[in-house]
Amino acid sequence: MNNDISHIKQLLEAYYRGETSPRQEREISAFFADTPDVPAELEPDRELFLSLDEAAFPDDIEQSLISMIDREAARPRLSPLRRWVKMVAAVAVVGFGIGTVVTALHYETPRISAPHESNQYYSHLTGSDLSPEQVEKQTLAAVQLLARTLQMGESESTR
Amino acid sequence: MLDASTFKQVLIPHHRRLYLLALRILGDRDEAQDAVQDLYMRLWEKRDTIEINDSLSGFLSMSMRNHCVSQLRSRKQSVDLDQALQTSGEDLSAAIESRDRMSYLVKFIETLPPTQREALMMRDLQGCEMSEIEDVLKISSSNARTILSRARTALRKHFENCKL
Repeated sequence: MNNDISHIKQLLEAYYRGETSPRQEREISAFFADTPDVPAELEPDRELFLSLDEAAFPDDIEQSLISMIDREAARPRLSPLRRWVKMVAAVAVVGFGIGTVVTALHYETPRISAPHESNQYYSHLTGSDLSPEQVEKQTLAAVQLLARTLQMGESESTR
Repeated sequence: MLDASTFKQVLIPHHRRLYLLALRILGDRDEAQDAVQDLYMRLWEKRDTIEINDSLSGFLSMSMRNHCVSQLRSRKQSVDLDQALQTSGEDLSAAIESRDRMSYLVKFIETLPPTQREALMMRDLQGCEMSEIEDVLKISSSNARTILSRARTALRKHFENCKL
């Protein structure tokens, strides 16, 4: 025991000078872990080594972070050009939709000069009391809702 | 925007300090490691908005602290209670003692000058070779030994003054 203690004291002196090898440091650490009762003068050293053991880093923490970033970086991300092409395509689809609806309305709504008569005439066709203007307004609102939904989908997919 | 190599070069070196911070707050090594990984994942996702300047280190500490605090809030109190009930009195007091000691160490490391702190963390907590420390800190081998010696001696003095 006395031999052990004097050996550890020598190792500790080298440790505080920054001159110990990893093997020697492991030796000091193992000694304190296995020896609950040490001379009072070694008590701070024991606390120090036990605390270092308790706070020791997981072996692979740095490497696992690096691998994680490499993995994430390798995932395909949409290039600015592809993102632009997708946006143009989305606008074209919405534009085509609006165009179709407006064209259809144009052909289905009779051109009548007196507005109060048009209401009557239109209700014959649809069975509703909406004027062509109201129908057009509601259709436009529906198309705008569709456009917003498409845009939401677009921003989701490029995230 | 940060590319992967700049991200690794600039942000990864902070992981040691961030890990210790998480360990001090959460008191558990696995949870601290998870917290560090979560934080880096979020930093990667937000890499477009990260600015590399003098306040980066403070920003990272604050992000880590906030993340850990929200972890603590979401952690179920009942789990801790269950664990405590299953642990015998002796084990429990040993666990508390060990946690106090670890937290005492980490708080002290946070007060060291940056070079001493990095050298001590790399060598005594991560088990790095001296050559690696010299490379990362860009210092000579005799300088690395001196810096490590200062940090260890200061730490010894700190434990001498403390009665846990």
